[in-house]
Amino acid sequence: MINIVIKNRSDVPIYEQIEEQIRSQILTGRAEENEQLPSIRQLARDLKISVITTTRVYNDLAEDGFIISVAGKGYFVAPKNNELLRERMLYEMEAAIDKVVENGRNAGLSDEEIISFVRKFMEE
Amino acid sequence: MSEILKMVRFDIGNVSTLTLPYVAGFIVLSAVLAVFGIPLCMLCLIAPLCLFAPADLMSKPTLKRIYGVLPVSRTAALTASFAEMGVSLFIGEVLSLLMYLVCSVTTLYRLLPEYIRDISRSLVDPQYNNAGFSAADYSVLMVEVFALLCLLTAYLKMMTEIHGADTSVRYMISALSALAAAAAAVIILSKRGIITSVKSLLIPDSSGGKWLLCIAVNIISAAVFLLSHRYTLAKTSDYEL
Amino acid sequence: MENILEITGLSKSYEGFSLRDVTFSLPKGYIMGFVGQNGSGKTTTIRSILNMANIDSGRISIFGLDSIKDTIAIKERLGIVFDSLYFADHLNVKQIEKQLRPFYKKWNSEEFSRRIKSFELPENKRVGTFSKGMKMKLMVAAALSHDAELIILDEPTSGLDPVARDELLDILAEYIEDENRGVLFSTHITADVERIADYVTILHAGRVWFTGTKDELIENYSIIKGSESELSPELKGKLIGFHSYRNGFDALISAKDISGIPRSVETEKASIDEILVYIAKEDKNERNTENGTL
Repeated sequence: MINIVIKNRSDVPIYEQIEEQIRSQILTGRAEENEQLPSIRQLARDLKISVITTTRVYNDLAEDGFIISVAGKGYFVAPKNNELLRERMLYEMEAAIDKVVENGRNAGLSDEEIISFVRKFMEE
Repeated sequence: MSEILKMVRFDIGNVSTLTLPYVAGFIVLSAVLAVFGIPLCMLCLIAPLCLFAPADLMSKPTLKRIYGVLPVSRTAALTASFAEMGVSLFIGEVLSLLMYLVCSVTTLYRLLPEYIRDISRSLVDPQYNNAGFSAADYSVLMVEVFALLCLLTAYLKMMTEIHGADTSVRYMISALSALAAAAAAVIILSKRGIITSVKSLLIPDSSGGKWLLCIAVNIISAAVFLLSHRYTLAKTSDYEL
Repeated sequence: MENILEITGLSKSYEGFSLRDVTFSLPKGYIMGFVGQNGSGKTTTIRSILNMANIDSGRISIFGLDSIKDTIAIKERLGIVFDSLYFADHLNVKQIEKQLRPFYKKWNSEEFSRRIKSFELPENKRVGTFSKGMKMKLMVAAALSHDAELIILDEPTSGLDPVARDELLDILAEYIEDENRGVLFSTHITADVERIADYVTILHAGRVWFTGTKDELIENYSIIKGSESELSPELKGKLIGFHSYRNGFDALISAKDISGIPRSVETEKASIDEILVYIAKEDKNERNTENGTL
């Protein structure tokens, strides 16, 4: 189930906060695929924010492939085999790997040591 | 028409809890006393009007906004107001005359203690009062008072609507002063002998004359209300809430 | 997108104050926050919409109907909440319902009753004894009980505690779930507008200073602070509400002008409150320049 919490006094605009939270929950698998999201107006009502803001959030997320809109039914978390979503997940993975390699090299490890480190991590 | 009726019901709803028990109580009391020959009913001329009295006193600007909120035309509210006053004065006239009639023909006055009986009879029987007024004479007087009330009420309502509620006291005082001045003039003139009989000034001798006067007075009073309503509508058509 | 409320060129003069050429619209399905200083003309605008004030020029249309010619038909579909009660103090809720029922074709007694219960308003007490929050809820209950499509609120939360304000926002958020409805509320409490409004109209000295989506407003203005020497005269002219003090200055600036500012100057997103303050300061600055004191 998607969980959204907004901070009113943050410097980050509200729409960004919501988009970020939904995106990360989808990417981390916390949100299940095909899970139905509240309607644009329901979400606005629940969070007591502007409908235009939630409309923007859903439009942005749909454009990026995280959610899909089904005519007459509403918005749903995109299934995992969704192209755009997959691309995004790979992109996230790439960024993470970049960090791993950089950190490993900074710590003085050779490339083989980094790879075996990763393997051990997967086995656990 | 239905708009006006809706507004009348609305006004009644606003005041009835405040005034209806007292007004109704007074009328019932007058009726009972009339059976015993006590003409309290003469005061019933003004009783129904008192039903609506707070409605006019309640014209605070914050409450007037209700006329901007409700789906009614502003003229309906004004017309209803005039209608309420005119109709209640008329009902007061009819009621009090009917009760006075009962009062004048009843024989139960004999049951009353002496001093009450004397005062009561003086207002009903020519043998008991100095001016020789009969019940018919008093009835004509009551109708004339009714006309005066109509005039006063219509005038005050008109002035209040056109010039605002705060100034209404001023107009009331000026109206009463005018009345007092007229009464004083009549008294002085009659003392000087210029007016020989106040009675003949106000009350026709013949029975036919009396009826004519009453009918004429009623028609004129209705006309006064209609005209002041018209005039007020015309003058306040541009007013804001 | 159909407009539920359209105001074009509204002008009205009183002695000492005038609304000039006020133009803005509210599309169906959205909430508009109407903000401005005291005396900026918000209440006059609302009274003009309700045909309680005579306008000098301009046109107001609600549900596509003319605000003057069709005022009665409009009010059947309009819910109105003022900052103070417009019912007689000595009446109770039950009596008020009886009073209102005959005026609205679509009056729904069960709905009214349901609202009264959910707002926890006593049915048999004189409404004069109600707290301010209760009085507001009573007007809201009445506004919601005849299937109104547009609700207009004039300073509904002035003098209310934060709990009552939050409850009102909740009610409005629920109301606007139906995309055929609209809400216009004027307020000082800009935090409420920042939260829930879709559109914002800022009124200043009788003129519209801004009208558009709330996002447009918030993303368009920033506060800048720094030392005065870093400003070119050209840039200074673009600042709004310039305020200089011993150790520096602060001012409001529009996004379109922001590229000209030097890096050393601090910028920060402006809140609606701050925008209002700087607009007022700008006025004062202009007056002082005219008087030669600046």
